[in-house]
Amino acid sequence: MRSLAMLQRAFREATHSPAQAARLFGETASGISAYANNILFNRVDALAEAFPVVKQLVGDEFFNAMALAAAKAQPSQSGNLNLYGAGFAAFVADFPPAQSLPYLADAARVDWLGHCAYYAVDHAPFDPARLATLDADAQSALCFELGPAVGLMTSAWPVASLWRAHQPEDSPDYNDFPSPDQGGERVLVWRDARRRVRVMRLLPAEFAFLDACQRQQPLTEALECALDADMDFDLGLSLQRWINDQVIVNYHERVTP
Amino acid sequence: MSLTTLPCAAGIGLRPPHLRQVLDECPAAAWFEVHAENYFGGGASLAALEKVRVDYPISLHGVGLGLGSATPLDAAHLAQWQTLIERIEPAAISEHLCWSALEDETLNDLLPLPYTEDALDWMVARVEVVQDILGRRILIENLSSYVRFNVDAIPEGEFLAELARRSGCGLLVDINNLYVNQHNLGRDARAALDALPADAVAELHIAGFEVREDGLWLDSHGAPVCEGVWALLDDALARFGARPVLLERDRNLPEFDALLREAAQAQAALDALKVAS
Repeated sequence: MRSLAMLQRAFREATHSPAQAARLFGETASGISAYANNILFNRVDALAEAFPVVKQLVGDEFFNAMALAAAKAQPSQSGNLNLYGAGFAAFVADFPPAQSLPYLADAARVDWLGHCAYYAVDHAPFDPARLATLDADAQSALCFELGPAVGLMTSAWPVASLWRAHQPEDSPDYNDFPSPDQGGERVLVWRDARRRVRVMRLLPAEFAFLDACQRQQPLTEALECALDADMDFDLGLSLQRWINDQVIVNYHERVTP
Repeated sequence: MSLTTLPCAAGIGLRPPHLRQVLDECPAAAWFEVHAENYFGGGASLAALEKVRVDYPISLHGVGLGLGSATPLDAAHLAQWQTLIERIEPAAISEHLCWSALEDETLNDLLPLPYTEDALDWMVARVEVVQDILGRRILIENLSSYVRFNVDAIPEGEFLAELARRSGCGLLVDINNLYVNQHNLGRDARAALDALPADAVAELHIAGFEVREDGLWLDSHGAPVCEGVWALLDDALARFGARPVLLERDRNLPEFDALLREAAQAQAALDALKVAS
């Protein structure tokens, strides 16, 4: 008897081989076409949900064709379709018909960070009063931790502004449509205390600080990175805002070697 | 622990577009079922479900575990299940008699198993593992299917009955799926009902299907429940007794009030049973 694994492998082949379908399923073989469509269109639907701004930028018809090509090229790796799409931005970057929109792949990266932020695990907010209990040595050695929903990226295009231009006008992040040649942006994506996915442009020093935190650098080094970018970086004010906004959600003390 | 603490009443499949309205209006639904994977992780959806569960019993229905896949179980997926069960404390948890993954690709569809001794042994072992990890019994749902394997050796009802007997799992009997399979594959829906052990049947599903151009019935959950399925539901209730009945709708999602009206028809079928007995 053929093993279950072999039958399942054969089932997959049958989704694109009528001869294999006939061997496996006899008179019910024509039903296999329902699965071939489902497998691909479930992925296309998942991409449409995860990349709403890309979809608005290129329109439904272009998006569906691009997503279908991606669905064929990039198999899903999880039973949770909300995890499908991590490779879509790279696919967009190499998709020949999208070459006239050089910012599209980076717009897809923002969408993906937003999608991940939406589903990221919850994290308890952080009480800044805890910081006051640390002595000066401990404070300089501590490492701030970014929330599970936080994403950082840089782009040669104004993709944070582009994302914001596609939000409802009453959204806290709404802005007018940017001009593609207005320059690159440093992007922060996170989920705020009201569980809304947010996208912001960061100043160079702000990005340098959060990026260092994400790389698990201690406060002294993160601050140095920020001050290298801008001597006027205001640590106190920035920390207060990021802790309130649940961008920074915890800290740990660096274990000295 | 019993198979389910859901009430023997009509529940509704709750989809994300209706969450807000349910929270705001507290409609007269007996219970809700949600797709577990939509609430993996955290954030706004899970927070909303945690509010819903205060007022309604919740059933968590998985669509992504692929229990019958001949590949290792996805430990991360199961860990998400565990976390969600702790947060929601559901009245029932369920998955499908299906497979969905090869070694190098997940197909994200509910794919039919061959009904062989080999596949039965595998399903029993996998259900046992999952029940051990989750620390409770699960309900397994019969599929709608568009193909039948030539190697099939066990009738569908017997396969499910034996799975329940050997693994201790409960059965979630999808009435629409039996009805669709009867048309597509020539399987006898009433014979399947007769083969199932009533004490293992813990929940029933009803839904609507669509007709493809070539006459194949597609279990799209995209239409109202048809007359034939209502009649088969009556037969199932007569055979098993009152059970929690769930109305599923995933595509062409109507206003929530339309689902309430359709669920009321299922409730009427349950009420008629009480009068008759």
